Amino acid sequence: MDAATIWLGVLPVATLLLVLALIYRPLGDYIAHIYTSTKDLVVERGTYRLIGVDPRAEQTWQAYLRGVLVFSVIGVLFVYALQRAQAVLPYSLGLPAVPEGLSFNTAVSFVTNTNWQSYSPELTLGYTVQLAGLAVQNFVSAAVGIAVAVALVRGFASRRSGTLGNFWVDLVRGVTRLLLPLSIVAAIGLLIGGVVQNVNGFTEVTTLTGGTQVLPGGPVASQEAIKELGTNGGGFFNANSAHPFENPTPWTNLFEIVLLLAIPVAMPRAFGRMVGDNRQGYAILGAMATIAIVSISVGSWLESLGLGTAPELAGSAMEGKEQRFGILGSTLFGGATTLTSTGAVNSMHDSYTALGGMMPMLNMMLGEVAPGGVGSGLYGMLILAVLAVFVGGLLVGRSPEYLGKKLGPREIKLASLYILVTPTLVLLGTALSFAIPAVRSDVESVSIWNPGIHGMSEVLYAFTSAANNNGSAFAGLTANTPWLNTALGVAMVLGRFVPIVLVLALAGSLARQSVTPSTVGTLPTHRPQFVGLLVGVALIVTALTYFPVLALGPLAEGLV
Amino acid sequence: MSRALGTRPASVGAAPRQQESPVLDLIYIALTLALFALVGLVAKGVEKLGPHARGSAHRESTGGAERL
Repeated sequence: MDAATIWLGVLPVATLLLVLALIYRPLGDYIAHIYTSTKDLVVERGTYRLIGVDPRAEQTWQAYLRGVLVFSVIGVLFVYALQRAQAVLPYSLGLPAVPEGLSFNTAVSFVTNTNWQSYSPELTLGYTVQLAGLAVQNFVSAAVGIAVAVALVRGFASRRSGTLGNFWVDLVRGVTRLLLPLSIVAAIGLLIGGVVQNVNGFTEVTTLTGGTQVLPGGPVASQEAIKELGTNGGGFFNANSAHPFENPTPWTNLFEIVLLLAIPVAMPRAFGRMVGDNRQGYAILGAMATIAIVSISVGSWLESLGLGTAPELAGSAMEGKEQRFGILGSTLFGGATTLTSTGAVNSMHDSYTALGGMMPMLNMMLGEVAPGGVGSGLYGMLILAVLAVFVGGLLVGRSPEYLGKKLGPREIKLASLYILVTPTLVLLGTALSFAIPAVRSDVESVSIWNPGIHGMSEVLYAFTSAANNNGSAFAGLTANTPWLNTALGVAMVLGRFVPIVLVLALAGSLARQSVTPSTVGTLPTHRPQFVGLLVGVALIVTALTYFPVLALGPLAEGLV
Repeated sequence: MSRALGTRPASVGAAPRQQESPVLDLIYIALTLALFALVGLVAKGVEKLGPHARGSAHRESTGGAERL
């Protein structure tokens, strides 16, 4: 790489870091204010009356969980029904009903904040399904994630109350006060940057060579804003953020990266504010930032090396990358989107070099905690913090306490179960895809377009993405098959809601405790040593869990 | 040339219309409900997680106090 290329890479990264540093405090403080305020807006009071909710009623973790599950299952059924009825819905652009398996997969995908897409949106979904179904879920699934994180923070902050707030209040406030206002501002920014926003349907244009081309339009800027802000990631077009109508310039590319990182980065500040110790927020942010910076740096370096026969012959690893973003603009976006639960792509991860393509996968395998999805990133990192405190306590013989809450057998069991859920789904799903003869035959003959080691990596990536609710894909895999639609759908539901059960149970357990004053025997959790321990726990847990399967896939491909 | 909203040009490919099957609809709806029921069962199991399992907390009204 020459100096100009490096400079072009450094400038966006420096800008990104500066912007995120500037918004960390104000946005984090605002989020904390949203979830601690005792005042309701007029529109919120009307919503509570409409759905019959007493906003002052506090909920136990079980009641809070019931709200999450009931709301989500209704969301799945509604989005499923919308897709199945598409042929008779207005503004469907003449598109037929979505097939059953694909409807299930898509409904589950958007309700779980995954936004895995086994279809080409512009050829499959009309405006009604996109707006009334998917866009609504982009808002509310993100709000659900934030609500669960806030409930866990309340568990740490409360003093023997045993309650976690009110799910319906948290859900409504997340949409009305955070996601909706920010999305409007973001959509205007994207419009200024050249992202399209219309309801023109399809437009036939004459090309420079005299031929005709059909261009899809749509309300893209408004969708793009919440797609990034809510770490959803589902593209309006099949090419996602590689499409020039979704992400036309390097400027919009950087803006979209800022959008998808903004709320997850600010959540540790909100956490620090709510537990009354901002230093705890900085410690969590420090662990997130350490992992993110190392991961993106390594990923960019590996892609810049351009290892492999084809990149070496071509002179660089530009296959699957947009010329206007280049390698660094692609790996920065790819790292940010897989370190969060966004899953949007501006380059095709399947075309990355073998080891470079391993990095997005590894980011997801880390549990998407650096900084993770909106809400899910914070609660994932707090679970790791609980384990780090436990490990630290074992190492130095101190009683495991975090933020004044004792971590007994129940709390450690819940945290341990949490980190087992997604690896189990990933490894089981991948194994079943190859272990059942009929399924293997289907996967190998229909889904995998790159047989051999890379094909195995594609299936592994798919289940990693689904179980971690990311939604990005190794683009070479055809996932619109009965097996993958169903199995990935199951992985998405269980990968989203079983961890939420464990997080809320942990929150309930913590909320019943009083706060123990810290003593000389308490492990300090706001210092760099703890940040190092936390990063170490995250890396060791991931390495122990996934190294064998990575050795069968991208490591084998890259090192052979 | 702009086409009227709501129409898809024949030149734009889409998956061929498949045979509609209410049985498959029922299967996927049942699968959805079963998955969420399974998550509910996990929650029931978690409630009993010992050795220091604790019962449900009492519902307490904070009377509009700070929600923390």
